Amino acid sequence: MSHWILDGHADLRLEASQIASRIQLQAELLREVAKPDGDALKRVLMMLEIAIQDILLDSSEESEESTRLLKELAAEAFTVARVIDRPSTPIEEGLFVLRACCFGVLADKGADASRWLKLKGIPNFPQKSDDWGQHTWANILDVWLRIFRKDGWEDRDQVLTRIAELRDSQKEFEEAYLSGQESANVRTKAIELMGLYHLAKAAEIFALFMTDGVVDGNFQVKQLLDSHFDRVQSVCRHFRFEQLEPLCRLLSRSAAQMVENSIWTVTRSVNSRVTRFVESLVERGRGNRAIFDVLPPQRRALAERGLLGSSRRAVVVSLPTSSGKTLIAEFRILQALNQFESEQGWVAYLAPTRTLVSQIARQLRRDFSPLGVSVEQVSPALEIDNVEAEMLNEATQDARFRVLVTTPEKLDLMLRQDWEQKIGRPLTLVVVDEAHNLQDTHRGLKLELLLATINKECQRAQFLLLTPFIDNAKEVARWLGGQNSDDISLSLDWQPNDRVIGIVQAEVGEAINKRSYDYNVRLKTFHTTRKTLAIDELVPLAGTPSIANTFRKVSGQSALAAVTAQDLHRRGPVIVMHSRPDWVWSLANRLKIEENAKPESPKRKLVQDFLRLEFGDDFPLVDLINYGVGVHHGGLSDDVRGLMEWLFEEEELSFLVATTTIAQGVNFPVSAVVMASHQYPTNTGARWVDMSPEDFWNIAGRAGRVSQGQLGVVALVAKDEKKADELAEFIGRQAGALNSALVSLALAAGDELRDLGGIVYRHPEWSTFVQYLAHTYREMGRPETFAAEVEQVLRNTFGFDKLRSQYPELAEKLLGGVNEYTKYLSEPGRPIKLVDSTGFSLQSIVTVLTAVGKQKMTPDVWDGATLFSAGNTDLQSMMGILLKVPELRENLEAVTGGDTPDGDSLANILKDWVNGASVKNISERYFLEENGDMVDAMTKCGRNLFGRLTQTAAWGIGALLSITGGALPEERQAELRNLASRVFYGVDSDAAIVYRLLGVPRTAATKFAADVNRETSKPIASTRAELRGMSSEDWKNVVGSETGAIYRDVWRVLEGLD
Amino acid sequence: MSLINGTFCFDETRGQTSWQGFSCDDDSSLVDFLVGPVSERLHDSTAAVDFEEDLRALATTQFASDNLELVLQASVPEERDWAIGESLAEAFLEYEHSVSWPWNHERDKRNPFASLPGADLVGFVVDGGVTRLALGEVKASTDTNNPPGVMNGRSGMRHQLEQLATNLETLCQLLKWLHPRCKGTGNEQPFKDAVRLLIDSGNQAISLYGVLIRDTPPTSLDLEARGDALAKTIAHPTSCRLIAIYLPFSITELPSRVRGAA
Repeated sequence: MSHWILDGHADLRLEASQIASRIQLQAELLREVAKPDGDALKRVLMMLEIAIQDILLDSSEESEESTRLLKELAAEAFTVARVIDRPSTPIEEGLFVLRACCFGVLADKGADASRWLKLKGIPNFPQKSDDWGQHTWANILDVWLRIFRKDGWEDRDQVLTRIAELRDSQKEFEEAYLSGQESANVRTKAIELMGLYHLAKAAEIFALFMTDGVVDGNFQVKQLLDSHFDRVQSVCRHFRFEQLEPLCRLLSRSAAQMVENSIWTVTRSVNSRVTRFVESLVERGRGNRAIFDVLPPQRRALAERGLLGSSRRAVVVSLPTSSGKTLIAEFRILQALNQFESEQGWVAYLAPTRTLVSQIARQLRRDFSPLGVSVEQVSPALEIDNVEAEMLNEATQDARFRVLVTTPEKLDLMLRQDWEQKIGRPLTLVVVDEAHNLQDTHRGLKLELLLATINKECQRAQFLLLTPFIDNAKEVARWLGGQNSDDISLSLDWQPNDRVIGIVQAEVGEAINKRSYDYNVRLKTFHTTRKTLAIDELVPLAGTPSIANTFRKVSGQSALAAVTAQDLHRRGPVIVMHSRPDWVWSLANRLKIEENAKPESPKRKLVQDFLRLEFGDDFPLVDLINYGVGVHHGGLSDDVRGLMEWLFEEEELSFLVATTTIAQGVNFPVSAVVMASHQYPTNTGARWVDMSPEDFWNIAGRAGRVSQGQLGVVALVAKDEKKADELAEFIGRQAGALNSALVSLALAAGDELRDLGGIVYRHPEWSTFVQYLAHTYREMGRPETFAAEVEQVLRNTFGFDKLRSQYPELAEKLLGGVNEYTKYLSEPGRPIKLVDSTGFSLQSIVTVLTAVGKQKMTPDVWDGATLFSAGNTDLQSMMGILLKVPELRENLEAVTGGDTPDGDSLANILKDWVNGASVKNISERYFLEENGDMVDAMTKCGRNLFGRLTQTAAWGIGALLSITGGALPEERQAELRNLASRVFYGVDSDAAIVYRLLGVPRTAATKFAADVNRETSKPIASTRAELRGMSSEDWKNVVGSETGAIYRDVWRVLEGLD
Repeated sequence: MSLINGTFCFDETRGQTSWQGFSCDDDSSLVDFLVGPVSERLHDSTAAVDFEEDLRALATTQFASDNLELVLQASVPEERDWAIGESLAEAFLEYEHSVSWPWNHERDKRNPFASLPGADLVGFVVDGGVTRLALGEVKASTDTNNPPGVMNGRSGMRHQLEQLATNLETLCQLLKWLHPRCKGTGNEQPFKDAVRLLIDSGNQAISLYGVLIRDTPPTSLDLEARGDALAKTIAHPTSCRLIAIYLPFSITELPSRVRGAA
């Protein structure tokens, strides 16, 4: 659909949009903006304004099509208006800006309009003018602009104050103003004032509504506003108010839209818990963190698509990064809790990484604590230890958890170990964050089968899947919810902020001497599927001689990335990515230049103090922080990574140099992302694998601090043409339909599908699938007819149907394999129950049992007091056994180098770890090569310890206990359940586990555990409350006078308290 | 001339600009014209508008209404001298140049806070089979200088016409206001045609009219210098026509003449 006025002017509009993009790019990236030639912008804006007014005049004939057209034209008008020179007088400027803001709101870019106003400020109006007409206009423009800006409660309060003042001043000024008019004008002026007073009243109504959701007991605010706007139109009818009349028409529609966007409207009459939540969001410190509006995707999900009002069992929300998916989830969670209040149902929130689990838990805890909804997280360690068991079993009303944040793997094992029954309350909602991981070849199948199992076995369970844009959200939703499902997809037509994606290359510059040349750095922008800004010409970036002073020196990925980041960091924090931790360190070092030196700050110093305590004075990150450079990769502990993120978010760091894996787990905004690499390293034959489009858009979506309306810049660095071509192809790749990992695994397996028992040894990723078969078999009561029913079981998965329709032959092979496997399962004496308690395939369990038999390992080995002591060799034996388990093998082998599987060194590392050795010590002992670099050793140690060993070994030990400790009395078994967690957390006592679960750094947790004054048997929520209440002095008394305050502050930072 | 008898005393064209003088005969045709079409335009329809309800509704804003009430309930002066010149020009352009007016401009005054110079008259004219936007400025002067002072300076006719031809904001503002007044009426199509033509022409296809009402002896000196200057800035497809109407009586007599007094 087009509008008659625009027909035939596509070229002009394109020209205007190019100019607007160019101005925006120049304003954001260069130091000056070139004035555009010609009047294309103004001409296009005029056309658009007339067309928009035309649509508004037709509002009685409102249709979906006209609404869409209005939105499109308003978006174009907003883009153009933002870059046009504003009129020079304040009133004219105010009128212009107010119109532009209306276009913003009508385009669903209200947040952009608000940020634009925050950035550019509201004109300095003659609000105290003696000319009452001007005085009134000035105040009306001011209050309405504040309503569009919504800068916390301050703007709202100012609106009310100014209108109250306007009423007071009316008595003083109005009479003189009217009597001073020529008799011919006086009626016109009087009428105009009447119109303006109605606009003032409408503004007052809106301001009250923003914070209260109701005005004078009336919830029908739109009607209330309309009554005033209609009155303005009514008095304008007979007069020639060239400004007032069209403005009022625009304001009226925009105000209606803002009412629709209001958090009050969106959540009205859902339930009292939701209302209380909204109150807390609006009230939030009465500061500028208060939330008044929802973003368009949130409005669409919550109100227009009725996410809260319906009983749809499965909903897939497929939205771009930074569009507020978490808030959508929060509302849905409250709705689910309310729905099953009498049963005290609980919600599982699944996040893919440890870091995200902690971040989400922190956010939910903060948001829900005013409502008394208890949020807990369980560790990704697969065993439920006693601390977690107590927390899960907690029956007291106040301390009872209602939301549990964890990883899919942990929830999977929990449910298979009957934790839903043990908790005694129903699982009512599963929220899956980053649900596109369903297609991940390593972990996707686990998630898919987990959801399939929940769907089959948990009566009350509903699903909310959150993903960046996927093509087949509907299909995924129908898989879980059947008819009772919905998908809410909003991606290509809405973006949270403007973004530019480009490839950076260096060009040879002038000769410096006979051998060296200067260089120029250029950014080539690209059009992409996500409506990124692009202009025809190259954007020049500044070089930095102290990083690279010649063309030759800048011609590597790392140097070019550093130079690019150095230029872009003027605009705010920059993430710089490289593929490997050692390359990340060296890239970070390039940014350690004099220009980046920062003065000491308390926050940076806190982190530096902590790093010194944990890793020693010479740990390079300590000095990098002095230059505003942070480092983030898998070789660092969760604590350190958390602190890096914190410093970066607080803008204490200018650069965060990270491995590409950060793309999967960042949820804070940055001004720019610079990519020295777009690949992940792999352990397979191909050493590198491209980041998926989903991951790329995830990290690209973080570029541009949305709260500041900033243009997000994503710069991929290319040292040569070949690389540039490769990157251009990479950028052009699109995220497509979400596919089941089962399909890709089956494709890779081919004929091997016929032997599912054997396949696990060669391709451990199939373990999940055969465990699913075993679990279902057991759950169904080991029916003899299982083979006949198995196809039905497979239909519960997302992948099987797809496999059958896309690759029928493979599906047949798989079915054949499943039938064979079913026979194997149903042989008598199979320890199928152990499959669910260990997370191992039956094959692995049999392998373990055989090895245990060979080694004559008895239950006596299970002794917490001796297992980790120096002289004891039981742990060595255990590691030897675990190295044979396909599910664990890869990670364990990687720790010791792989060539000669070495249970001894694994056991020694674990013992040191559990007994409190520092990472530095462990690095020196096990990872430092002769004449090797200590930082390399620590990085390697960190990657292995945090990334592989602790989690895998904890899992293995827990599983081994289940397999071999069955004969022990239940009491002993319960006692021993914490052994795995000791390994996971690196502590040597049960009490310390509590503190580690609460996020206390390892060194301090050990001190707390050793403190005789601590009572450790109380509910975890009480211990958390106690820790929160402790002063620096208290911590010093427990942890140590030198370090107590540092650990306290670090813990509070990591908990999101300070 | 169909309605008023008189003579064209000068008529010149330079480029896109032309200027002409029309000297009215002092006969019944002028009397009929003044008491007819001109007087009709002067009728203030807002005088009859009842603002009672608007005043009552004002109470809901909690702003005081007493001062406004006094103003709006006061009687409207029967004739408004300031408006007669514009009415005369409007009627003249309608009958002489086939300009149509979708809106009686004399019913109101422009937005008092429009700092941009708006046009006194806004209408449509069919030229060569296509409808164009017609914008007019009107001045009345008894000044014996030729040209009179009203032709010069920032608020002078030449400057205002140039502004109308070049200032997009003024034009846009005008169109947004005019739009609802044409929509759904017989003027909707002319509006669309004129706006499309305007936009297709890069905002150039406008017919400008400058009407000067005089009670002094006709002379091309009243318009020539300004016409000459305008001819240098006004380019195709914009056209500009300056018209001086010479009355056979004093301008100050216009109100009584419109009332039909001899």
